[in-house]
Amino acid sequence: MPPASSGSPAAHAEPIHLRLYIAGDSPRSQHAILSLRRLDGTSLAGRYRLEVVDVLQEPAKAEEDHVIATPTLLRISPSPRRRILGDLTELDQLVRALGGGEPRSSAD
Amino acid sequence: MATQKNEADREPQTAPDTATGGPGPLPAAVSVTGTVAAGDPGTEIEQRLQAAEEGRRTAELRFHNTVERVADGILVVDGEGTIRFINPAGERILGRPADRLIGTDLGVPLVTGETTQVDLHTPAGARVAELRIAETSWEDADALLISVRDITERRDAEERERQLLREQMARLQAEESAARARVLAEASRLLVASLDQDTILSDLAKLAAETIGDHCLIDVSTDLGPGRYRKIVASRRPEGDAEIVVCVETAGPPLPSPLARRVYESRRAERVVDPGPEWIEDACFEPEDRELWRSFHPAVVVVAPLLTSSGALGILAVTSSRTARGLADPDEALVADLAHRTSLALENTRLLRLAEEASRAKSDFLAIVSHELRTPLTGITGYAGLLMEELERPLTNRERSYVDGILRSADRLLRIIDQILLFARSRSGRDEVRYRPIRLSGLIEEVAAVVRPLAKEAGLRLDVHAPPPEIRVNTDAEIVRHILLHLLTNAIKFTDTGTITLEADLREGVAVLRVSDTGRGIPPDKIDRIFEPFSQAEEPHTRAIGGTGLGLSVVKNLVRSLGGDIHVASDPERGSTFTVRLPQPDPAES
Repeated sequence: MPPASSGSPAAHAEPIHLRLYIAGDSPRSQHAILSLRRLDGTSLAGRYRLEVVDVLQEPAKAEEDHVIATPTLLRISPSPRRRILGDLTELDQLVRALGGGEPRSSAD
Repeated sequence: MATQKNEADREPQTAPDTATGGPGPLPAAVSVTGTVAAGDPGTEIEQRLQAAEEGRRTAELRFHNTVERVADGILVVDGEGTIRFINPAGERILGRPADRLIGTDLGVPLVTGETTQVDLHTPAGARVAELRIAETSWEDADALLISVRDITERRDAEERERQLLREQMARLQAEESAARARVLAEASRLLVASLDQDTILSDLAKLAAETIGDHCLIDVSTDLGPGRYRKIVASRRPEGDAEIVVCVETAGPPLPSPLARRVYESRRAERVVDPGPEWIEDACFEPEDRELWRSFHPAVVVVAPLLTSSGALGILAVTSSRTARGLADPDEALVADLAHRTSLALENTRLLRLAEEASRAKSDFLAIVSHELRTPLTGITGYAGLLMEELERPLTNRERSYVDGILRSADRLLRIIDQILLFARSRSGRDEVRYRPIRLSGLIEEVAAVVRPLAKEAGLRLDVHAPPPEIRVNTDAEIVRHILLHLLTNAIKFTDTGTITLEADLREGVAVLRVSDTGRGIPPDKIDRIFEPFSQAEEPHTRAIGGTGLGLSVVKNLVRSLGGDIHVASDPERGSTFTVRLPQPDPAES
């Protein structure tokens, strides 16, 4: 159950679809998964859906998304798509990068 | 480098231009000379501009060479994470040519600290890369400069090193556990090698001082009396083996020391590094004990409780001192295990001693009771005998039959008591065996004479096969007589019709005595138990036939006291045969 959303801005209503690409059980991959679990403790809690794709298991999908390095985190929706590479440790940075659905200042 | 970048920004470079696979899409390679060429040639300004241009070209070239030749891959990604620039090393590391990379999304790198590591998926296989990020600008917009270093080999080497380390650790652990197992196996051997408490404890203390630490102290309450303690200390000698340095019986403290109480209560071993004076104070009440502990110069002490089902018996302590050969660190778990095994062994010796004492007490009890029963019986038979002699007056027939009944009952009771007494004696093992050379035939005739009337009374025939008179055996005639009388009366008791046979002979230095009957035999399922005390082949017969059920167990004990054995062969149709074999002792021994 998401925390009471009555006070949240309506802009946050659209769920965030995330796709994390990892490679098997490499330490980098495990670290990324652990990092993303911590999103539940942030303002994004209950607002996102996380899909984990193993490039070793689904190379075709990785090819389609042009993933050449992992861990890579994709924000599929809301658009615009965003792509993050690296260890995903810095939670604040991550939440900012994934944002809500608000457009980036550069696109204004 | 940042200034170079800014210059490059002036002439934006498009990806298709550099897609030829040339030496590298270096943005700064495009010159800006066109804006200067409009001036008058030969002027000073022009010359200075040319000089500046030369300098710039040189710098560009240097930059170009640097970026092209560095082993690290260098990429520029824009704010969207799209690749805008990559050097040849980058192409190599990512395993793809620049034209397939520039314009595609790599992603915005999120890096905490200086670097981060990622898995690379190249057509040649998986690699591990380290990314280092710096802020820069690209085409007047913020961008990120990423240097990529392939660290697969380094990671592999590290992994190999870790693996090697793990293997070394595993080997060390295996060696350690093998050493532990050896100590425990040796302890187990020592603990069952003896049932004597002092021997067990001394051997164990020496083992612990030799293999686990430098000194081992065992302080344990004994069965020697309430509040009696045995203190044993073993110390390792410079030669490596351990010796017992203290083995005394003490009155022990009136109460366990605080240390002992602690380990009794926690039921666990206590390990202390560099125990101070307070700890030693806690460990013992007696000044000489403190002196002893101090003399160990303990650097590490492990103290384990000796606990049994009946309570705490004492403590086992192992100490190590810092010596030239370094510190032997006593293994807490090993000491606890050793203490546990010691407790079990101590309990076993105690239980064995209790059982032996109980058994001896029972035998003593039986002997005393039997004796006490015999005394009044002597009175009964004596006075009844006087009546039978009709000294006062003649008896009527009825009176005589009554007195006869008293006498026969008393006689039966006396025989039962004798059996009990004999059994008790044979059990308490106090009967001395007195070997003497005797004529076997004489002994046989003597026994036959006693039994013949009983057989006749029971309507049975008694066949006696005595050996030639010159056959002599070296034995205790009293005991052999008991054996044969038991076997013969038994045979008569359990045979309704037929013959009782008594045979004796000396064959190859073994006296063989045999009693056979034509009785009801012994059921096969009972034959194993008939030499047990209080066992008769058929329980209901006990009442019909009478007897204590002690007979055959007494016989067995008697035969054993002469160093012989007894066997029974039985056939329910044809009766039973008891064979006693008595080896002749060496004349020298007798």
